[in-house]
Amino acid sequence: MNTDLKNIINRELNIHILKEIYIFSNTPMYLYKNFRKDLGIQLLANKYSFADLIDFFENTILKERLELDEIVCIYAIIIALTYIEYYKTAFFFEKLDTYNFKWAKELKYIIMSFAKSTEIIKKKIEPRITIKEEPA
Amino acid sequence: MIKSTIMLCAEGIVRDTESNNISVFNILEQFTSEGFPLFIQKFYVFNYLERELADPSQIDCQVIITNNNAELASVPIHIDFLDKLRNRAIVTVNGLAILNPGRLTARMMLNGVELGSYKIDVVSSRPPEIIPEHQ
Repeated sequence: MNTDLKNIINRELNIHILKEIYIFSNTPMYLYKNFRKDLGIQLLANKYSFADLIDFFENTILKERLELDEIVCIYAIIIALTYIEYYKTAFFFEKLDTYNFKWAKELKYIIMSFAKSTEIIKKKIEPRITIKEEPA
Repeated sequence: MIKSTIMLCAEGIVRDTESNNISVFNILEQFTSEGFPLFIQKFYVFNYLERELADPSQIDCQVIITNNNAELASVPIHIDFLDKLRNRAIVTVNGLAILNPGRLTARMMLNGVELGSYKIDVVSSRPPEIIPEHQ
């Protein structure tokens, strides 16, 4: 892992706003939606490779005791990874519930439920009417 | 290889924009009618498609609806998986006249290959005709 990555990530993120969202979140969906709106998190996905972000996540989550900033960073990394092509990060999200942190399982299912495209097509079938002429 | 892992027809299908989950109501198993043609005002054909990374992300499919051997409708569908490996395709069919009892079949076709199909029995409930005995 890039040793400066933690500092860089902390610099990129507006940690105070994210902390506020995290503390205010009463459901995982609220956290997911509001973290996804954050521009700093979107920038993370653009600036860093998914391998670096996953590396940072795994190194942080293994710590025995996490500070609030680190917890918020963990969620930020997960949400940043949702901006990367899903086929690259699928292996990570599929095992997300094996990590020990709050809403791991819920976030996994939210992210996986959005990892599908949808096509909605409407077809109106014109009736085929056959008129038989009666013989005069 | 692109696969259709779920294909079904139902009276109602909705997508929850909040969770992106699909809900299906009243899966169609059988139509029963005394007379034919039987007019079905609205129903949905649902396909859950999966692809592998090597497969193209955009494909052109067709949903073909047949009554016994008669083709009733052919609906072209352009499917864009985007960067995902799964797609849900929902086709709303408005106004279908089933001509004869037997079977209604919806098929999902890709380049002439059937990815999936769903069959609904069409039953005539007309009571058997009683032929009076000649005296």
